[in-house]
Amino acid sequence: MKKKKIAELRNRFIFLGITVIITVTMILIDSEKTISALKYSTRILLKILPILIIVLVIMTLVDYFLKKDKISNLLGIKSGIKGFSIAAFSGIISHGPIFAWYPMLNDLRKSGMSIGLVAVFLYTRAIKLPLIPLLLLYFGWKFVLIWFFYMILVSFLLGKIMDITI
Amino acid sequence: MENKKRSFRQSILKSGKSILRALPLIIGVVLLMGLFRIYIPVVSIKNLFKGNILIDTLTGALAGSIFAGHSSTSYIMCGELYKDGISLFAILAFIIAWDTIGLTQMPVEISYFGKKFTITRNILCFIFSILVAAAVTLTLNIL
Repeated sequence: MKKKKIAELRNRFIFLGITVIITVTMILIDSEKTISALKYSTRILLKILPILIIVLVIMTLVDYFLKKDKISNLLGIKSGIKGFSIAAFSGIISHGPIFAWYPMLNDLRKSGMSIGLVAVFLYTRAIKLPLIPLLLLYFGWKFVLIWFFYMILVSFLLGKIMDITI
Repeated sequence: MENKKRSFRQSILKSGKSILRALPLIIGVVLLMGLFRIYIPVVSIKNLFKGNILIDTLTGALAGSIFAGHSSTSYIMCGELYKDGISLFAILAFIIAWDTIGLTQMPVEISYFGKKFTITRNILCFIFSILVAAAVTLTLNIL
């Protein structure tokens, strides 16, 4: 188990190393553009930090208050509509870049969350509540309601397919 | 009470270690996102649409899978493209693909959930981005 964790960590640093090499190469090719890219990356990183703190708090509370059998009951493969509702609602209200939530989802997965509900959470993140006013402005309320309906329906289908195939 | 306090500290430490282990991946993905954003600018998407609904929808889904960054800019841009006459099929496929598929974060997703999950999920999301785009547009035309 420890060897697996060390290998995992090593692979992650290899990935970081590769992206750093790519970035340095791009600086040599076009320094002006790449510096703009780095400035953009820095802005994203600063935006992510509060999200990571929120994720840390949620993970701590879940780990402290919910035992594995409770998580399995709420979010396991047999949790049914209850599990789907929790995963879908959590995905909709989650904020920030998708990868900030991977550590939490991974921990829940290890505690019994079904892989289908991980997919549901990731899919329903596409329903961004703060951006609904923009959709209303450009496309109208009928569009928003129909789009919301199909996104929820598809997230349910996606979850089921993932549970069967993975 | 003393036992619960130690247990809570253990929960914080466990969660903190998870986040710390994620940092190399997060920094790597953020670097890639910056490069994608600048070298593959979103503003160029208008030039990709040719007026054929089928091809534009596929193009929208492909482009959405590749572009990086916060999707709020895509919502504003798509609203303007819609006003300019680009089909709703294409615009929707683009927005949905952007929000559900992520080329830049695939290495991170693979690291956490494995290749099978990541590839299957992203392929299904690509297919669904086109199907949902079609379903929403056709339903709107009927109602």
